[in-house]
Amino acid sequence: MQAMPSFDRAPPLSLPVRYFLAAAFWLLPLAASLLRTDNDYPSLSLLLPLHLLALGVLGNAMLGALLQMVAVVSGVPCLRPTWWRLGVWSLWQLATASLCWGFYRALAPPWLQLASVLFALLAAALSGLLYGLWRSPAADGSSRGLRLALCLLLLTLLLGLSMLAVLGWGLPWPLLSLLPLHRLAAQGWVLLLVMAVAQVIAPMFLLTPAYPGWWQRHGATLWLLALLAGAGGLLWQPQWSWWWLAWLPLALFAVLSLRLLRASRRPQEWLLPYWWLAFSLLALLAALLPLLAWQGSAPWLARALAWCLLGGFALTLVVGMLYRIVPFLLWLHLKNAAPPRHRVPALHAFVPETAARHSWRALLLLQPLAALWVWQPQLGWPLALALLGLLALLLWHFIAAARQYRAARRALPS
Amino acid sequence: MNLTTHLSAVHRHCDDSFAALEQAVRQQDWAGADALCASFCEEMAQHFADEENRLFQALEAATGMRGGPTAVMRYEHEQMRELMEDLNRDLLQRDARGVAATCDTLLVLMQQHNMKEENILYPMCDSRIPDAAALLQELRHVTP
Repeated sequence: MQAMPSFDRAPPLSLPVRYFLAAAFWLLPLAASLLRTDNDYPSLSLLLPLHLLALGVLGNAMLGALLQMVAVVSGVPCLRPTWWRLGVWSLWQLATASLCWGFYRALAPPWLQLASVLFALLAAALSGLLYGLWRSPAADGSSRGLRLALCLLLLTLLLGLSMLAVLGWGLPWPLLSLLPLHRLAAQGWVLLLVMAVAQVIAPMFLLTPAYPGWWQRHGATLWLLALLAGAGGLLWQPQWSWWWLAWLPLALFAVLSLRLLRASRRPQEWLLPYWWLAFSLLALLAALLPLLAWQGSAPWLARALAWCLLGGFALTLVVGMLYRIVPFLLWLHLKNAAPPRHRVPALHAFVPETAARHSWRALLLLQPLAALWVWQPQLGWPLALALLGLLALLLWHFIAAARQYRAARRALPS
Repeated sequence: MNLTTHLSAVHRHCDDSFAALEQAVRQQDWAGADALCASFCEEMAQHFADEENRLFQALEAATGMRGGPTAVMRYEHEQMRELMEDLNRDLLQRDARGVAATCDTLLVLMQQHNMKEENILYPMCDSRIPDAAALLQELRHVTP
């Protein structure tokens, strides 16, 4: 049975903001972890920054955005905001910290055991969200994509938990088969979420033409099938190196998106350069993937692919999203608190356009520094410094936005 | 064509007018901006009226629900009406920065509102309103 949409039960302001703040602060240990990357693969010194970025920075931001998105796009009510704001949020931070500390302490079992328990609780909480999303009356492409993305997030967590069962609890499962499957599922979740979101955001907020109908209907399924083919190849024909072909839909997605961005009818929109940068990096990732066929698991290629997907593509989109969503949430809450017909400050008053453009330049600067780290992992410190610079900018801009909100709130007529 | 496709096309038509208005302001074509703003606000007002007086009432009659999603949509219409008043005021004062700031705010509010309608409310109207085809004919007086 389908539920009725509940637009009047959207999450409170503090819920997504808490996740966004945590995402920013995880940049700090991420920067520190880049100072000790070695030139091996697989290597704990690479897994540590990857998980700090994927779970700490991107995981928090994407989860905060997802909780907001499912309320708006799919009309799923936020039934227990305190549970999500305090319980799930704390679990996510503790689980990420335990896992990363376990990696830092050379796979110390107690930390991995703790992480496995915490991630199992998180998987249960996310299953509840998936159930709500499944019952939503929304049947559009982006809602279907959100459901699939959440399924893949759960699969990623389950595969990660299986590896923790091996490393932390000593179960005799095939770790080396689980690792690439976990990686594929994680890549699948990131891409599916972005595909679902892009179908809505690009035409509505960047005023681009819509994605082609066939892509809207079948893009997510195509990507899912490609992932399944990739996983099948890894399991049954590991000697063949054709599984990277699973990434062809990704190249298609990058090209389609870049073409749409060229046709935007809002050339002055500051979010547009963020999307250009992100999808250019996705195109670069698609171009690098065929190298897997003859470079195998070369450490530089592993770092390059990981950076392009997480540090380049996903981080750029996430930072752009924060500059769009945070001022709007502040504006909306102020507007709802104001008496009717009272004029409240526009979005620009909370975060000026110049602030968003400064952070875009910081992200642009990250890319050559990341290339330096890919080439010479011992030269991670310039990238680490640039990430700290990004953190400083984010805090500066969003603290100013919070102050502006408080001042405007105090100025409201009682 | 059903209610979802027709009303989504009306949204896209309003988006076109909005983009043209922003373009005129950016080029400091104030006379053009005045005309485009007037037609944009008129299209939006007509669309809101169609929804509030016909569509939402038909949905409420079909489902028996009062308040809930349609009340939220009406409330957001009111917020957009206020922003359109601000937009007209900024335009009258030839305040390009003010118009840009109000447009930016209006765009985000408008699009998150459209998402809710296009993804959930309109499909619900198509499936729940008994004579959706007749209602569609009534609403098609605005050709996107």
